[in-house]
Amino acid sequence: MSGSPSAPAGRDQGGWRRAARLGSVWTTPALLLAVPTALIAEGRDGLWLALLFVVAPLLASLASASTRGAAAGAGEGTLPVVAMLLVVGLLVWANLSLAGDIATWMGLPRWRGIVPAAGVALGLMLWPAVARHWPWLLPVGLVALVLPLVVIVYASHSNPIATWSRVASQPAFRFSADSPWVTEGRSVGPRRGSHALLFEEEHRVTPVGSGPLRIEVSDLGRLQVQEWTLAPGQSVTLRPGDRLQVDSPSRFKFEADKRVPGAPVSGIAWADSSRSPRPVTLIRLLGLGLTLVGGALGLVGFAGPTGTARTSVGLSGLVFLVALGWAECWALYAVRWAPEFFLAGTTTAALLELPALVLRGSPWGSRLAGVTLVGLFALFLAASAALRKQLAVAQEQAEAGVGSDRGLWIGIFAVAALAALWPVEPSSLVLSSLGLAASTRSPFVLFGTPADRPGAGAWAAGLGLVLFLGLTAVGRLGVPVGAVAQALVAYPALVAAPVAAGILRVARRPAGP
Amino acid sequence: MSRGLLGLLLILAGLPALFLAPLELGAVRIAGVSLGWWYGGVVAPLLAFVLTLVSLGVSPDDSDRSQ
Repeated sequence: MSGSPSAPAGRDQGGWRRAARLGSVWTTPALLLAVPTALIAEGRDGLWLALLFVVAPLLASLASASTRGAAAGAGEGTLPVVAMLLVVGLLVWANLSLAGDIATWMGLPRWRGIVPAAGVALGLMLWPAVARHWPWLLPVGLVALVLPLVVIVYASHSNPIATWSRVASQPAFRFSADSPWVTEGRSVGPRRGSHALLFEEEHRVTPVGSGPLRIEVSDLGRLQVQEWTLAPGQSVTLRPGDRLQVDSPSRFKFEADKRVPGAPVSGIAWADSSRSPRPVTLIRLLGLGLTLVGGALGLVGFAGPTGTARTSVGLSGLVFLVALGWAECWALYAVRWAPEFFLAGTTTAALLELPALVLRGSPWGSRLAGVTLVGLFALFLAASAALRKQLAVAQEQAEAGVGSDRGLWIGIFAVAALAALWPVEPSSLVLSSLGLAASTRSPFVLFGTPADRPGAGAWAAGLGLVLFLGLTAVGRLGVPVGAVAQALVAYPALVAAPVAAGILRVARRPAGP
Repeated sequence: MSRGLLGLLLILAGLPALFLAPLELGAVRIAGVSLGWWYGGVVAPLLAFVLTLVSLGVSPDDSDRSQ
């Protein structure tokens, strides 16, 4: 190995440091915020991601403990380490992309969020006097997240159970009269592949700012696109079935007491029914499940020299439970008090605004949003330091290095920061990272490296990597027709991980007589 | 496969089973919240946490005690 951090992961003292490492790697802000985002967007179906958020790392810890002798990619050279490097790089990219989104949401250019975040994280990692204390960032981050939530619960006079019941019994999600989307107007843009807002009832929309307005109108079954150029203050009334095109973010004012476009038809539809057909739901459940469980195995499932201890798994498990509770409550109160989050263009970063939306008119709203931001930043710093430890462990186990520690991390952050300037949904980058870990590293945690077949491990990791990248490329070039094909490119680990695991399994069989 | 791992997989499988169960079983209300949300949001994560600790306790890691 040509370089290692000053305090290798394996020499961490005590269960707390190992717990902090496990907990920090998994509660990285991009993955944590994906949970409330999924719950808001998908309702009941989003619970699957929420459950996997806790169970996947626990399962990985248990699998790692029961196969302690098998180190991931042990002695297989650089390929498993390169795979781990890509996994870590994608996670850093996801978090820096989130920092860019938050800057955009605050009205700043993307780089104003990305560069300071990357700079502070690098400083923390490469400054030995500070780097020692990184585990404390995890509890600081969690407290800073939970504090605004406690205030929201207190100020709304409604506990989470009562809030859930209230949401589930709502006949429709409507704009309130004091909503910022009604009073001052907010930016709306494309989201989740949709470039238009569908209106289900007559709705008057007022553009804020200049520029043409394009509306898809269905007239006697014929689709027409009408283009309007309105003077400041003028509005246009859309009829049921009309679609307002939002190819790029534009600011609009909506009408009070009207349904939020893009929201489920009712509270019960959000809480208790699936928005996808059953076969698609099943494939998505399987794809997401394999991606997160396999990703956890590949990312945190390899034990390192000190093994997986009960205390550290217990403490990290508590971290996951607290984070899950926060994410679920954040989603619930968002749906109750700010159904505008259903609108297209509402990014993960916009969730930070929840305290300000619940405590409308109070200066504490924006202050609590700031506290939430501090919490997410602390979690990002902790995750960065923990990822560095995990990469060091991977290099030790593979008996291979990919460069000096300092130069490597400067390189990772520089490339990720550059890539993050281009807006990409952070949750999709996290899923890619976990899918890659599932395809290239998880088989080693489960089956170990066959000692008598040198090279089989490299073949398994290599094929997993090629299949994963190939299917991802197919998905980027054009989504195939059909639910099964779409799921395969959305979750490439569904194909790549079983193939890599199969190679290792076959290689471990004893040779015939 | 250890019993703990099998148990965790069964806990995971419980949620899709509730989603797909006949008679909208997952939508049955208990104390104002549907069974699916109770299970996926509260019971299953806690159960998985306890099961993991119990499973690790059956064969505790020596390195943890030595520190």
